[in-house]
Amino acid sequence: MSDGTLWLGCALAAGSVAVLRLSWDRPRRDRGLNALGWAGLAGATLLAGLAEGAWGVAIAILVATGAACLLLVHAGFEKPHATRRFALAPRVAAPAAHAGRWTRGLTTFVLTGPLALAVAVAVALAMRTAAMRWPVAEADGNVMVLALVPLLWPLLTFAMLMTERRRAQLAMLLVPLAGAAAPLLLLGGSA
Amino acid sequence: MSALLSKDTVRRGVAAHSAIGLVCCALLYLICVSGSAIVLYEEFQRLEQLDAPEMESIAPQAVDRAVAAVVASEAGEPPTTHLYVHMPTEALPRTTITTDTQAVHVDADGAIAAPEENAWSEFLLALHYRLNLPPVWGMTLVGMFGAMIVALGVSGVVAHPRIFRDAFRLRARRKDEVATLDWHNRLAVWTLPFALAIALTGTMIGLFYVAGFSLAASAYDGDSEAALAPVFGAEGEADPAPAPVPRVAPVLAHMARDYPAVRVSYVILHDPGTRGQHVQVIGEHHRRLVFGEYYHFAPDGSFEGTTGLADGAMGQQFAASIYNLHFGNYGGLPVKIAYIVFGVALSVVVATGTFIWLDKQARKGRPRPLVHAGWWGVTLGVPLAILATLLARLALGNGEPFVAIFWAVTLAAVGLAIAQRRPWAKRRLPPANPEYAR
Repeated sequence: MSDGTLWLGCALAAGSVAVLRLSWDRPRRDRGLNALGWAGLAGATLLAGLAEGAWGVAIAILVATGAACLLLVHAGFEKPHATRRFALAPRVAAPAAHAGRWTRGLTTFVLTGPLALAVAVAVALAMRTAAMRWPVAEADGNVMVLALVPLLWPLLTFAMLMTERRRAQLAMLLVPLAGAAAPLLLLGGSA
Repeated sequence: MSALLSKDTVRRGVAAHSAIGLVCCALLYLICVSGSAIVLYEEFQRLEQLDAPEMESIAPQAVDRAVAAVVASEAGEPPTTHLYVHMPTEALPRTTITTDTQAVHVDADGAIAAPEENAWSEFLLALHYRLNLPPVWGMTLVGMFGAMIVALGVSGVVAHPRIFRDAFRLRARRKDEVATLDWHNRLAVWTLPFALAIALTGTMIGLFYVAGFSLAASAYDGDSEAALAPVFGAEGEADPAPAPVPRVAPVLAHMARDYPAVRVSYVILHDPGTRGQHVQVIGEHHRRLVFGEYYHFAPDGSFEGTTGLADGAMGQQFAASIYNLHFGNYGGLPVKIAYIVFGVALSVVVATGTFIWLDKQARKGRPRPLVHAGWWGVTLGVPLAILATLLARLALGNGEPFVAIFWAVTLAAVGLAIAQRRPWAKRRLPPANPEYAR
């Protein structure tokens, strides 16, 4: 029963990728096929999860990724359509980087690197502190910190790099830091 | 996707993607390549020492004899704090005993057969785990790069306005920069779930010194072991008074009787030969992502309970799944092969990403031929250097300076590539496709 459901989930995962391939290859968007493909992937994940839990989900995702890679290999061997080539834009030597640009780059690096990491750690610790009062199990709270930092930091870095204004970048650091300070200062960080 | 994201958002996404990628590219590539190789950690250990005794299983009494032999071989020396018995598993069908000072293979009768010689596998693992740097610095650095893979994944999605429409478009036979761009985008899109899983789990492992120590500092008076105790369990009270080394056979008999579906992968003696000693078993659960469950036994072999990695709090199960999910050792060789293929794909994504940026710079009138050549040196040099260390291991032996060989070959490859490409700086670049213009 469990094996059969897992196999069905894996087959559905591979089949759904093929359906998406079919759908996205059409000149016009095909909502029906799109929905079928995505629903198939969701169903495959569900079946694999029902059969073997997280292990089953991991296997189904590997199968879907493998199927997509096989389709890519096939695409790689296809002869490319003739396309117009456009002449390269005339080369004009760009101005050399000046000192101010380097300073700006270094500041951005410091803000999005170590400082953003510190804010991510503070937010994760604050979320744990709040969760412990909910309450959640101590193990869950502690693992929450270990899992949130790798997620919050890159997302914060990305969000900061999406804006070019320094004030906005600083706000992205200070607002969550202030938000994290409240539970940390009021509730403390006790075990 | 294009309807969801404005042109300006896409432009900023490309800029963010480029900025993160450029800062990280070389070491990220090294981590991806070494990570793809280290999936075969157990298989490499077997390759390194082909004549080590192998067995499908070992009798509990033979394990007792082996433990006694190893303890006897260390008589007169400071007692080991831990004694690990690696039990034969499918991936590594060997019985190996490791103490604080030595590691030996034992045969099926429990006699010491030979010292363990797996310096190359350990070198490769250390290269991936911590770039051969001291653990605190190396693991933290690798963890940071893992986090940047997450940022690159997110920014890459934002930077790609036709992510679904082009998902299967791979113009690999075009001999121009479009092929490079397609390789980068297509492999990145389809390996995104894998990349995120690898990156998040790797970052959790790598950033422990940041996140875990911060947690310890804020809630456990700086005691990181206490911070992990609710998850992985705590060490027992130490009592250095001498005591007979516990027998392992009753423990293994208990496991076989009460947990027949669990495969014992490790037996660990904590503080063996002291009154504070206790026995811990790591049992692998079939079709689970958790690396195993800890089963605790008193020195007389009586069962005391489990930690809860397999059936305890969600956080425990989650934390215990991180290692297997990262290294791909949860489904035998098929899953390992998938991890290697996707790992190589991720390495190609990192390598082509930098080439795309360099090509774009050239089109903007800022060609960087030496950097371009240097990047070719890195791209080819890293796998070549790993291969060189493996050849050194197989041809010269276990004691070779693999770290020095690796970095020497890598740097030589970069230097050679730069030296050879120097005259190319004046070469005219091929025309570009307008897809690049955005």
